[in-house]
Amino acid sequence: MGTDGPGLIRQYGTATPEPAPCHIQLGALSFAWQSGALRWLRIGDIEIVRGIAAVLRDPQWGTHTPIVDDKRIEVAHRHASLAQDFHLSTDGPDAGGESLLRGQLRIEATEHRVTVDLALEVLIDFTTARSGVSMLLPLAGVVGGEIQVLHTDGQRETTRLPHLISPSQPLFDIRQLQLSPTLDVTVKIDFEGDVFEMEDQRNWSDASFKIYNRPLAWPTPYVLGAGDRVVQRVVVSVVDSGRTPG
Amino acid sequence: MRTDVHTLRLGGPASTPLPSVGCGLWLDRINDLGRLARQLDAVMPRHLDALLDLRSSRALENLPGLMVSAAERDIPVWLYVICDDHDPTGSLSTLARRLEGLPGPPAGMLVTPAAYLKSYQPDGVWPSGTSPGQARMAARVLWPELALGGGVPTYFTELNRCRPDPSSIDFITHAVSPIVHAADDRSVMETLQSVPDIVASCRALAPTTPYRITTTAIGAWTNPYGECLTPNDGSQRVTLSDDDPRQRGLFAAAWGVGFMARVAYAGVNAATLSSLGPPFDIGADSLYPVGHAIAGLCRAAGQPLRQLKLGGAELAALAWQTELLAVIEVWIANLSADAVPLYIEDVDLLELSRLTAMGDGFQPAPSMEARLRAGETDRLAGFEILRLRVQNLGSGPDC
Repeated sequence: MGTDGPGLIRQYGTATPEPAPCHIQLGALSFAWQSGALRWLRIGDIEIVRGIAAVLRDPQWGTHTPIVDDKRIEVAHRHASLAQDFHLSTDGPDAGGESLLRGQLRIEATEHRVTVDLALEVLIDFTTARSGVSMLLPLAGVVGGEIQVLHTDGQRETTRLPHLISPSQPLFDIRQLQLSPTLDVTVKIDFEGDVFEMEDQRNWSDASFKIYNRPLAWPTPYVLGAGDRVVQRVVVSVVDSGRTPG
Repeated sequence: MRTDVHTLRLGGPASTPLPSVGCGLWLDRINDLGRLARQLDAVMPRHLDALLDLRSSRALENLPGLMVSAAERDIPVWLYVICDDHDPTGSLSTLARRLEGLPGPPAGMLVTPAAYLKSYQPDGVWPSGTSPGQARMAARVLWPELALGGGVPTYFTELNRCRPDPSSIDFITHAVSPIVHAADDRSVMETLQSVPDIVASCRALAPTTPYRITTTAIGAWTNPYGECLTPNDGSQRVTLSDDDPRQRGLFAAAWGVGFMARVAYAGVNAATLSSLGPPFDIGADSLYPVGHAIAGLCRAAGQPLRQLKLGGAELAALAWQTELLAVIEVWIANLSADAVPLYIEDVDLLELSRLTAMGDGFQPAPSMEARLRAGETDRLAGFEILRLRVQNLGSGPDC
């Protein structure tokens, strides 16, 4: 099955291919980078994060496709640095039009820690159902599993994620999560820059629990005003990889 | 890319049969009943789920043609009715008059007040008009003998947030859309991982009630979360679109077979895939790959399922006993874009065909058949579907 035009049409019904993912390996830690999103963060064979991305929704919860202005990947022996600069245009994904907002998603990764920074600069009033960074946890090892939550007021809670799909959000007001997808892999995930909560995305047939900014109980859509800046950060730290002591 | 060889091993009988397999149909979007008839003849769906929006005069005009075409072919029609929010009895009475004198009656009906096509947060403000339960009671008066459902013509989210009383429904139903939140190829295929959890969660809401998954395809026919669908010229992979290009490619066939494998082994009673005509068309004079896959699954609906093992997440497979007791039909779909090595074990391979190209349907593949029969490894191309007829050589319980 070729990757030529007819081959693509046979497979996908369109000759437009998706951008190929770039695979990054740092010791036992690996992930892919595709269309400005981090995907499939693994320790060895164990997937600990399904994805981290900047998600810019339109007022109908449709997803904007940003125009990529620049992307950079630098991989050294024990460190990777990736960034994508983008903007949204008043004319949608096609070139031309005025810039609605500019943004950058930046990833700094070592063998034990991945830091994702999102910066948005709003140029023209921008109406959105939600704009920010969102993180997906995979299902294997996570469904029904124990999870520790640190709330923004400093309270800690230990709970279990649901087996049966929860109609409402399983977790609110998240500052930090800690979970162990397997007995010997523990990860800690920190969220900064907004109020984050979790949704059981299996409701929509996504294979993930999503942690996203801005509580659903707040009014939508909302307006990001010209001149506003959005700065958010997610840090995934490997507390115990089962490979190193402690 | 992983290059592990996937070995197919057949197991014993499963506890459930292959569900009824059917197609959807939007009565307000049908404009050629002749084309519909050709599609019915080509696919022979075991049932039809017809969306009937009573706010559309065109939907009611097309109803007689549908009921006649379906009756001529003994295909049961399940009506997914959208009714008025404030006068359900009035709008359903219009439907009752239309149905008088038509072949039928329908096999069952789900009645949804229009406002319930939208999604509401569990703690949010819900519509003030007729509830789905009240609409069902209004339908019960008009059709005391008819199977009346609980659930939604949209997605499991809406059902999970507005749960019917299981004692008041004759079946439970919802659709699945794999492009609500993400539309890239890998995310769409990954939705298959969550499908067993959806089936288990829905079953838990009504454990003994027949469970019918209604029209499901790579697309969304309506947007419960906003005012409209995402515009698409038919070439873009975008969320919440009713014109996804992959519906026309092998991708949709592979996803559909993967979906059927998940829901069949999870024990649903019926599954409805794609539609005859828009929004999730399967092609007419030349079927899309997904149309060929659905036609093959429709033929096998109701056959006893067989367990099988096939390592790795890249492949989906299902198997059933054919009318010839000793012969098992096995379908294997490659869910990935990369070729996957395959090896079969302990079975006598009688026949092999593959779904590879648009329009052609399943075609024999003699060289692949010879290699697998000789105990060699061969490769399943990206999104390709294999159809095998095998005889179990092992000491399985059916020998």
